[in-house]
Amino acid sequence: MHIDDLSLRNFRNIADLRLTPGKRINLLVGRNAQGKTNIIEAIGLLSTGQSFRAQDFRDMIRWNAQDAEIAARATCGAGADALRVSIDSRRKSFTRNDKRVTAAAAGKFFTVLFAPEEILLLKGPPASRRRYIDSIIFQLSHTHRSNSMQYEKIVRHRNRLLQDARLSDSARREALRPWDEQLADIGSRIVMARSEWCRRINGLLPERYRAIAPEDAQARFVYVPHCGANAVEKGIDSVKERLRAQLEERRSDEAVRGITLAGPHRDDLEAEIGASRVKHFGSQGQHRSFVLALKLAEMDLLREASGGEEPVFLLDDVASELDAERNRFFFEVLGAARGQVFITATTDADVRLPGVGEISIFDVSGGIATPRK
Amino acid sequence: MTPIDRLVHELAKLPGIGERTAARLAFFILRQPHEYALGLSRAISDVKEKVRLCSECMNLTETDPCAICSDHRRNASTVCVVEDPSDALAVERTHSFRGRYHILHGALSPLDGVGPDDLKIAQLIRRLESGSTEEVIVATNANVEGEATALYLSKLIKPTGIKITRLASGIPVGGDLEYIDASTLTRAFEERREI
Ligand SMILES: Nc1ncnc2c1ncn2[C@@H]1O[C@H](COP(=O)(O)OP(=O)(O)O)[C@@H](O)[C@H]1O
Ligand SMILES: [Mg+2]
Ligand SMILES: [Zn+2]
Repeated sequence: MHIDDLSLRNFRNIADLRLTPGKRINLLVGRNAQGKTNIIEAIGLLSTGQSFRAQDFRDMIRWNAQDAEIAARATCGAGADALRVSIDSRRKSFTRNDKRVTAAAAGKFFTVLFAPEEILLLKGPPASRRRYIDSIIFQLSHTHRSNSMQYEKIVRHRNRLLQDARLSDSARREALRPWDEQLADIGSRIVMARSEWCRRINGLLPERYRAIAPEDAQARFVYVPHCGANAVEKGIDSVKERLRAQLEERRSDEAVRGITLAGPHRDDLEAEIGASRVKHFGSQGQHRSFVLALKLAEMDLLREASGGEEPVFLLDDVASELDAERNRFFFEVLGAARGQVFITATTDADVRLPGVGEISIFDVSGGIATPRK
Repeated sequence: MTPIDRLVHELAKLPGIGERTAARLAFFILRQPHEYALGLSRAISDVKEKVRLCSECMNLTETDPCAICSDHRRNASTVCVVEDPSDALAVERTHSFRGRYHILHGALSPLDGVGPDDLKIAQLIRRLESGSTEEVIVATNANVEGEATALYLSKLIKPTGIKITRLASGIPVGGDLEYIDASTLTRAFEERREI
């Protein structure tokens, strides 16, 4: 899969841009705050339906403009599709070949994003790791996306009941019942999906890690469900049962704290190398190598899931975050791969490495991208 | 306030209508012949004066009981519970349901402050206790609020021994009944499951 042609209108600092990227490596070069990451963000949005950095989708509309538009011709397998995202003050809407589609359906092509924040993925709060794994699954499963949206709503409804001071204990119990039931039901499906996709990532990760750090022990990205790995082992019904039981156990705590204390919104993922946890014992280098391997495993997973088609790799300023050795390794891998890649950098010197192959360079300045001859 | 300001102010209270649209509507009305404005205002006041709730099913009606509740050809032993009058209309359009309705006028939604007492649930229970209902089909929307309402009703109705079923999926998750085409809804009725 690759983008043949991209146009942006009133997207962030970009008034009007048309970009015809190469099928392989595309380098977006420019000083800070010129719009490089904005282009990456737009491609990600086309693919996943979500921005990786906007809190509010309205932030993506160019200041003083009414609406924004991203349009692209993308080739995935069978042929070319016209993809479009329109953003106005009320909504984001998506079309494929001029037919309305849901956000997820617009993503017939997959992207792997690697941004500087992600170097810290293993050190950050559990929420960032949940978001990470979910963002991968969202690309592959519309059901998981819709379950997650429903789940979030269930937790919010539930928290409101827990915080409602007018309810007596028995009335609250009664009112919570249908929400507990749904939390267990939808929650168990989320747990099973995360477990399944983590398992598949772990089938790919060790090899990728070994290639980066051959002398190191085996790398694993372990799913740590709040309901316990045992329940997951036994299947969805026991997860559901366990979630119900946990809600019962935490009932008095919940009443005091006013928040939902059991469920997959409290899951975590843990990086392990051999028997030790990277979060606590990993060196700087191990952190970086692990995340790098994870990204490559993600690429393998998406390729596998799409029947062998290469996903589009989006690399935002990563060269400046990796040391020279890992940089060389990474670009060698990308050079050997066949897919389309977008890389942003402040200087093309970062990326001019042997083995990278043919590069299309675009100079980005003030929201305008100019192909370099 | 000038009459125009007043009209704009009132129109802007309508759902989905902002100040700008309200102003556009107000100027549109102003440009129309006098009869149009009179007709519109009469239609609006008639809605309030003539339309009330059917004392049986809580649907909106001009006569009490409503046309469906007083139609003896319809099977009174099956009651289809929906959130809104528009949902009952959607089910009617399928022509596959010949029972009666009960309109809840909403769904459980703690985030909007809607609890059981804000819905026509007590009326439903009273109706079930006094009547000859054999099956309750819960056709609330397939979103978390509709599902919570269905689970809540199931808990209440189970002890009465009356059969309670829920429309089968086939309804897209997160889908509102109103927007579902008749054939999907017909299938959902046929495949309803006990809850
Ligand atoms: N909605 C917006 N309208 C106009 N400009 C914006 C908007 N959002 C961000 N910007 C501008 O975009 C620039 C950042 O672009 P970005 O792509 O992050 O830069 P970089 O080239 O360093 O990656 C900043 O100058 C910022 O002020
Ligand atoms: Mg940037
Ligand atoms: Zn009636």
